Amino acid sequence: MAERSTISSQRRKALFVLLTPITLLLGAFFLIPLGIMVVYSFLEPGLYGGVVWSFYPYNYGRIFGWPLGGGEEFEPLYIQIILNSLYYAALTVIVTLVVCYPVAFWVSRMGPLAKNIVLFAITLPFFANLLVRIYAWLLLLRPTGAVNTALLSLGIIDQPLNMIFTEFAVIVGLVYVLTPFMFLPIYASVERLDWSLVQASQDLGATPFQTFRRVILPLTAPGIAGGCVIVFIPALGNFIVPSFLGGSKVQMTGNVIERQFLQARNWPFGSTLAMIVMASVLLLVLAYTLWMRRAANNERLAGAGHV
Amino acid sequence: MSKRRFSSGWTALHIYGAAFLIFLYAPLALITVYSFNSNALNMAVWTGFTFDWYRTLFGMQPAGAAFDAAFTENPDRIFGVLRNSLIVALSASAISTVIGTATALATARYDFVGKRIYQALLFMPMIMPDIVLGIALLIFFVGVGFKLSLATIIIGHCTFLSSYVYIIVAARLAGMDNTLEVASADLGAGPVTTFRRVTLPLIMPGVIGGFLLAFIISLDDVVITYFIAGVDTQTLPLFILAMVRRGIRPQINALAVLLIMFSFVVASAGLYFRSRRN
Amino acid sequence: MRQVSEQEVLRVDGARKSFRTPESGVVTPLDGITLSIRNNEFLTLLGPSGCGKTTLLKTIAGFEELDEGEIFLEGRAMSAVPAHRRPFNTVFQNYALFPHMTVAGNVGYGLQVAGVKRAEETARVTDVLRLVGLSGLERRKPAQLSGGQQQRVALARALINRPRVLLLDESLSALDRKLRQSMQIELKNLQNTVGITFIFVTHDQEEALTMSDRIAVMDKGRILQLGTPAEIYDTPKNRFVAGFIGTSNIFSGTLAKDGGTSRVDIEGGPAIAVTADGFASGDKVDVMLRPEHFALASGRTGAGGSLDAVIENIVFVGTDLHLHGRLANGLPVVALERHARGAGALSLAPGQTVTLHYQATAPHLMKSQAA
Repeated sequence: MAERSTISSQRRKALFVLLTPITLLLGAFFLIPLGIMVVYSFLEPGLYGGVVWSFYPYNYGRIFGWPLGGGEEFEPLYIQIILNSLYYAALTVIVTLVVCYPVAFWVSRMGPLAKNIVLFAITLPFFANLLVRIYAWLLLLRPTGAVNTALLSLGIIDQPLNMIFTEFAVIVGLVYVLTPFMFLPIYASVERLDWSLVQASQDLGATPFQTFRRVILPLTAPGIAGGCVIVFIPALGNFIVPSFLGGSKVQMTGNVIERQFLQARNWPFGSTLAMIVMASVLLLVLAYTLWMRRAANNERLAGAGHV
Repeated sequence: MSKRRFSSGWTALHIYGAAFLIFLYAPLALITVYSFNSNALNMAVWTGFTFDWYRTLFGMQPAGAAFDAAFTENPDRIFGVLRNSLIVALSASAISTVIGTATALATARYDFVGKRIYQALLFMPMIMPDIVLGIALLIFFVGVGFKLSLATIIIGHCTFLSSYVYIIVAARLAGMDNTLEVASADLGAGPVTTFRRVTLPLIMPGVIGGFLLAFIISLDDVVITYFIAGVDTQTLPLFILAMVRRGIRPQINALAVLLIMFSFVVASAGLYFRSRRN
Repeated sequence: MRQVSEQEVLRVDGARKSFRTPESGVVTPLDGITLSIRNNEFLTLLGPSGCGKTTLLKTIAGFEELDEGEIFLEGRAMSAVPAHRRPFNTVFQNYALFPHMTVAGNVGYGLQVAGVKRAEETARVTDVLRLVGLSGLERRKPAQLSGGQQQRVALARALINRPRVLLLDESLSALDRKLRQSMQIELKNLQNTVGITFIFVTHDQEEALTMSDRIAVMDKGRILQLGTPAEIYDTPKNRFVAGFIGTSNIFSGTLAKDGGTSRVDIEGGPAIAVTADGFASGDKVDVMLRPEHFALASGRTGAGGSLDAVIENIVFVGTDLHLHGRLANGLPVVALERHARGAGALSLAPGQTVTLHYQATAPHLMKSQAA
């Protein structure tokens, strides 16, 4: 009986060798740091950037309204900034969705060669340096930038438009940077779309709008949902785009976190803000996962055999 | 009638798609044009072609008479930054390729308790906003007394690059018939020989693709590096960040163009390998 | 030339394996299998999908472990020996050819990993490729070959190691019917040439009958019957085996012995005259009559019996006519008439009542499974 287990003991050994590195890496340098961050958000900020090891719920209090007082006041500005960030992230999702959805259909109807070339062309800018891509928009949008210069010289305007350091600039920057994240999942679901279903819908007398709403939209919904989630997440926590294109006027939670860590040196409060970002992200991902699971179950129950 | 409507819709879609591509590439094209514009005062106005911004970036004297030496960068500095970036990107992507590939082999070829937990865990670093991961690592490294250095940047990059490599290699393994490994064992090859002769050659395009994409993501990373680089270690993106914060100068355009070109070449190779069939 | 001997080469002893799946709960693909495989024989494991035949093959090959029991190769226990050290080779259902290697690379792989010298490898690859009729295709990649050629590469690759036992897992099922039939003959000839024990897994009873020295019919993790094709076909042990192999008419009834003659009384219907050694009067039995045991012509001599049936459908398949009809009690019956050009059988029409005659030795009695 003892030697029977040689095959499974070999498998166990192999699994141990294969899984140990990732376990150590993500355990030590991902889960533990995040755990410490959670702990930090409940610690009292010490002088000069340190922490005091006692339970201290007032970091959350400063944001949500139960402050300790004495310099640590409730500041409605933080809720405002958090809500603004959620709003900018949501707006970015909507704009990227509207921009990418038709493009996905455009690409999916191409011949194989053109399709590969265009897909490659759409994916490639994602790999250009993030800073460089945002910097490019700084060059485009600033008062002496390309857009203003062109409009002025064409005589369309006689004063430079005030575009940089506005919400508009931040949204444009986020949309530009995050477009590939929206495009790829949508494209994947459009590519899987069975066009005979669209023809069947037309054949049954549906108008193009009805076909879109009743057939195309539900069938591409998983891609849309996936794209929305993976655009929303980096948009929410972004601080490079608002710090380049929003200046001091348009702030997102990321900018406040950065300042708490690198200037104010209040790490517990910075951790608290990061916790709020992380919690929003995890809630969103959880909702998405549950929704996808329900959709998959429904499909299985319906016994849909088509791929 | 309906055919005509369809084709006019198709034309509109063509125009829309072209506009989308212009939206993606125009900003990058603009920097490229600016980087060759000799106008030092207003980039938006073309005054002539020059290589000076590239020359001065690397400490060479400008060829145009109009420029004084004040524009010239210190070459030691930029080469030091380049060196740092390459060390980080090469080490982090090499380590991540090994770890990500090993993990992909485990989840693709074995059933074990907690497999779904691992798979979920591997997605976490990718969905975690950079800033959260960056500050968590900062608190951790400072807390346990790691000196912030190139090593901390490499470790930090590995935490999320491993997941990228994992996904690419796991996709490759999912597309590979696992009876090939069984067949290899059947023909007398031990596990190591089977891996070397059968599994590895077949997933190699995925491994190389994963490595190259990890390399370029590491090379371009700003946010996480920003938090866990010590005061005296700078990578290329941090160097650009500092340059832009000091004020927009034409040398930034030159450096940006070089970085874009390099990223595009490496990423193209990575995408090619990732999608290659046997 | 191949010599099948009584000498045992491989023995499966009390093999048991079960596992839990999320879809169907506990599955038991091997429920206590004991099987002795003779040197150089062609043994087929035959059964419907899910009967455990592929699992049995995989545990012999070493790809899966037994929960209980043991596999012995010439008396040596195998369970501690990993797959790559077992002197067995497998021809996989989907061939499992390495797509990144040439034909020669695939075939020579087993020799390379065993450390055989380059020159010997080349010579043996050439030999075995000639044996399977693939000379000249050494440098092709598997993707450039037809299904039949891939099949031969898989065969050559498995044979080159000179395994003690060759395991074939539904190896012909991916081929189209014509090619499959010619490969059946070829495989049999090949075995005669190389003289290796073959264990062949299939769900195709025709294939099993064509090629095997012995067939093990499996269902639900057990071996129902082990015997030569003729034994399995003529004297199946129970209703399942009779139904799985060939076409058959199986009637349930009660045995009645009356002096020298015996008969089976079919519930609500006619009686069938049988010879009933080893059964007692009053036993619940199943009686099997193959379609070819019936004759329309009544002029035969000797004891026997007949059944009246109303023809519902006549299927012409070239060599034969299949007559589908019903007995008076509504049970379906199939009879087979050899087709002779211009003969009267063609004048039959649905609705007509015919008398199906059989000889006394034709009905085969089996213990009823319901009992």
